[in-house]
Amino acid sequence: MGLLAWAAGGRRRRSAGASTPRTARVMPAALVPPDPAAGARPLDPSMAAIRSGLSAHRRRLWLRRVVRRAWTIATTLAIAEAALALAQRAFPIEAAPAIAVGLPVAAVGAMLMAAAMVHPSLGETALAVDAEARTGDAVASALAFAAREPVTAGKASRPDDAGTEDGASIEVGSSFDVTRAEAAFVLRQRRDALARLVSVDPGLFRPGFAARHALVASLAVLVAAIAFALPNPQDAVIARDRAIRDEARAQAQRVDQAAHQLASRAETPSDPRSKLAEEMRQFAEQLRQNPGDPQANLAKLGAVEDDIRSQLDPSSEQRASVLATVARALSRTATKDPLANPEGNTKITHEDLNALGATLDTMKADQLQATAVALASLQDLVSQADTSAGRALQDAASSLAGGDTATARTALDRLGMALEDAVRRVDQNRDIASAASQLQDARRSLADAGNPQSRDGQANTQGQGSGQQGGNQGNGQPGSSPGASGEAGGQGQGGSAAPGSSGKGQRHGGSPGASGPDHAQGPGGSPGSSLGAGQGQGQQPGQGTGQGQGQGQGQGQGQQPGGSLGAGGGGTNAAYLGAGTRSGGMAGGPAQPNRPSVLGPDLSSVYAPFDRLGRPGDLSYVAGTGGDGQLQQGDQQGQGTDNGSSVPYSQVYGDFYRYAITTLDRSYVPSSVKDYVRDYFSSLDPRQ
Amino acid sequence: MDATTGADPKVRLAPEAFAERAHAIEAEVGKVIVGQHELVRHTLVGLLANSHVLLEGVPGLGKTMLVRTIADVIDCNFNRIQFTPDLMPADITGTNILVEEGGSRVFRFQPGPIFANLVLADEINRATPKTQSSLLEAMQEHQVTVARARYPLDPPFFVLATQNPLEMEGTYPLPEAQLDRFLLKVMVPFPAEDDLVAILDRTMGAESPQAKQVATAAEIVEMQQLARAVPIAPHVTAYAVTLLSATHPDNLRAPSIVRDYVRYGGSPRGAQALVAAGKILALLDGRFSVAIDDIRAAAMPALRHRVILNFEGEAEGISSEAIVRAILHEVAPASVE
Repeated sequence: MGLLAWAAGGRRRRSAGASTPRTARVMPAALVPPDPAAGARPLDPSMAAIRSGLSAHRRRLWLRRVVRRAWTIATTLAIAEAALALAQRAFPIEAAPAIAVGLPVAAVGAMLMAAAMVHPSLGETALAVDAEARTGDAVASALAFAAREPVTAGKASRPDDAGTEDGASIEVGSSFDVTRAEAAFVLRQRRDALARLVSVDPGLFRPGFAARHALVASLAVLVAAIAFALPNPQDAVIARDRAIRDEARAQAQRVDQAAHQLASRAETPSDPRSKLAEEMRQFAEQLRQNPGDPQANLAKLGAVEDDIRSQLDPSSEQRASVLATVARALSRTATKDPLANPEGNTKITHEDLNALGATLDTMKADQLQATAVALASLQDLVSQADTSAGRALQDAASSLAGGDTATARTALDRLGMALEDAVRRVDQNRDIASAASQLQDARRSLADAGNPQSRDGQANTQGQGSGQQGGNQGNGQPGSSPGASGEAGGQGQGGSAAPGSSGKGQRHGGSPGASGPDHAQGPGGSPGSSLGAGQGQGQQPGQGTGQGQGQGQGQGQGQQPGGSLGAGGGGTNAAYLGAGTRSGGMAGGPAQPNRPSVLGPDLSSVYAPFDRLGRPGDLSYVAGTGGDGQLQQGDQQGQGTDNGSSVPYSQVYGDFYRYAITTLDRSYVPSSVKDYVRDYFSSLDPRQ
Repeated sequence: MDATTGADPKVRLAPEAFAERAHAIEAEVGKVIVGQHELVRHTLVGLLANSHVLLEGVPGLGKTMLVRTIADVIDCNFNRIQFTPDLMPADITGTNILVEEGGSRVFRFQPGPIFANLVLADEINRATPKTQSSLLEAMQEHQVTVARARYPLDPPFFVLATQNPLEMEGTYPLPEAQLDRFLLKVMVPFPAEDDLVAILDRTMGAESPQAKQVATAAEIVEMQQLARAVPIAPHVTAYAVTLLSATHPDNLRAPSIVRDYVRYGGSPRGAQALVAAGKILALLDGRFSVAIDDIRAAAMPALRHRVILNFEGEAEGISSEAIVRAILHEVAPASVE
């Protein structure tokens, strides 16, 4: 309504009478004289002349109205642009450039709309002519009278025909008829209106220069130009907000993918991984819907993370190590094969136990006793791994000792199933830990998003890490590996070579990037041919059940006692290495020491593919049985020679980097430690 | 010849002739009344609108002279009534007196001074309200009722009342109903110095200027009839209504001064007065329809006595003229631009 009134109305000036009125109201449409041509009756010549006389004025009035609206719109546009320019300096208006461009477009649209709406009617033109040409409201009144008394407006109702008077003189006196007299006045008035209209200046309604509008618009444009030209402090805020949203969306995608992976690993709908996946999806949806509110997102993320963390079993990895050891030991006990089930796969163990159960009936008593004893020797280890498995093992051992092969068979089967269940729980816990780790990364990314200070700080951390790395290289000290011990008949070499640590091997003539596995020294190699400087991070005291002799150069950098970010793993040349046990820390190293050597017979290659060195969770365990390797302790002062086992640094780096990241993701590791590891690898990145 | 008006039934009058005749009357009156053009114009408007005018001014400004001069210019009866506190209604309207006719005594109506074409009610506010109200029927109905007998007044019937704004002690302000009967209330201003010189020259010399008759009562009636037929466009009528509505304090378009100081606004007679006066002004200006400017020109004399101030207005010394002036200032004609 307001727009219509604005488009159709304005103000007309009238100086007659008392004084110039200050306010005007828009004339109701009902009071605007209608066009007498709307009727079917042919018009009186005077009225037709009035209509044609008004046509030219009508076009000029329209033009003037359009020009006035144009001035108003242009001024409004300039003011709006100036206000936007000032506002975007006071507030972070991300859409300011778009608005700045959109305002002129909207102004053009408004102009077109206004131009269409301000087209004057004939009655409006008559009123405007009366107001500005001082015709005494004659023209508009003539139109109004023609509409009110159409009988006087048509040719067929000329005065003579209609019996009306022509208005030149009106009959008065006793026969005075006010109706006839008024009709005569209307005709007289029409001729008078035509005469007045003819005398109107043809240049009426000439569009004028709106000086006030022009002044205001010029000032506004000036302000806008200055405001847009000067550097805007809000740009940084906008960039930060945009980075926050972008990061939120990216993290939403990441969390969604993690949730998808988590859900895909859920075995049953009641699996806690399903519930966690749903929570993560909801969080991802919140991130997408409200990416610009980091506080709310972080709060929600914290809640999800706390929920996940509450479901984590901190001893799961330890239990996994024990389970692998138990599985390996049980398989070897069941199969009498010392090399059986090297991976510690519980399914294989289950099958081996079932196979053992199937042969119980064919065993002699002494064999049953021996088997019972062998199984009983694993009682503590199995109970440590899983309570139900311990009970099943105890039942199996006691049944075998008693000669009850049927019960023993059942117990062995239960033992196998219990071990598989335990492994499933470990896997489940690993998935949850991985999800928690990803959420943790997401939280940090969200918290750091849009904050250039955090990036600076990270760069500083990198620098510190590099420096520390350099120090480690220079300060490598020979020492025993606290992270592992190994021995068995042969030799274990406890080397700290976790890729997550600062372990770094140096080979003469080789690239300094070789690490960990490269540190392994085969006995067939030239003693001292490789100057290894393994630097481990394991701080926890290793406990080997056998007597192992470890060799390595380690520099502990663990974060907490009993925890090991990189369990030391050393190479060995022993064909058979016993498995030692290690307690008091999570195994995280890329290679576990004292595993059976898989090197070739000539032992010429000191490099073993990374993925053959074991997996996280493998326990540093030396069984103390077997092993015929020899102690090969290299002379670290000797001059090394290239043994031809060189591996491209980039490959080694990639292997270790992936391993470290995998380990970090699998475990719930504090962010600061993660940063430390990442910084370390960044410093080693061959691409930098 | 019409028995009552004396107007010829076949007489035709051109609008231009109306203006010429009116201007002739103004010119003749102007020979006697120095200056006071607006006063003369508004008085003539009241006469031609077949209504009545209230003049307010201090003594000695020529109010009585104006009426007398108009009576001289127009060939019509003129009576002057000096209102005093002891004036009785019968002294104005007339009464039945006992007369002997044919040997018997009968009551015969003796017309009062109201029975004239032009009646000067001098210092009307000095009469009691009872006496003042005796004019009501005559002014509105153009007739007098005495002893259940109605006596029509000959047209034109024009009451020109005067009142003195200074000597208010012992006066009876006209009630609103009485005031509403007057089409216009015209203030008689003190003449300018040049006009004073002219007045002295004319009145203190050897010869006093005499106005000659330029119109008859019948011609005045013809002019009244012609003026009534002047058409007015709807948007002009609407503006007149808007102006009148603005005198009411509860109206949305009323200026703040109206809302603050006005108790009652004008009655519908006020709008009638605006239109009636506007028609006369249009004809006098040589136009054949009423313009908004005519309405605005008539607003001050037509509305000033119809605006009733409240106590705050009286206490603040707000004049009704200031109210009407504010209304004219605030209420603009509806616009199409």
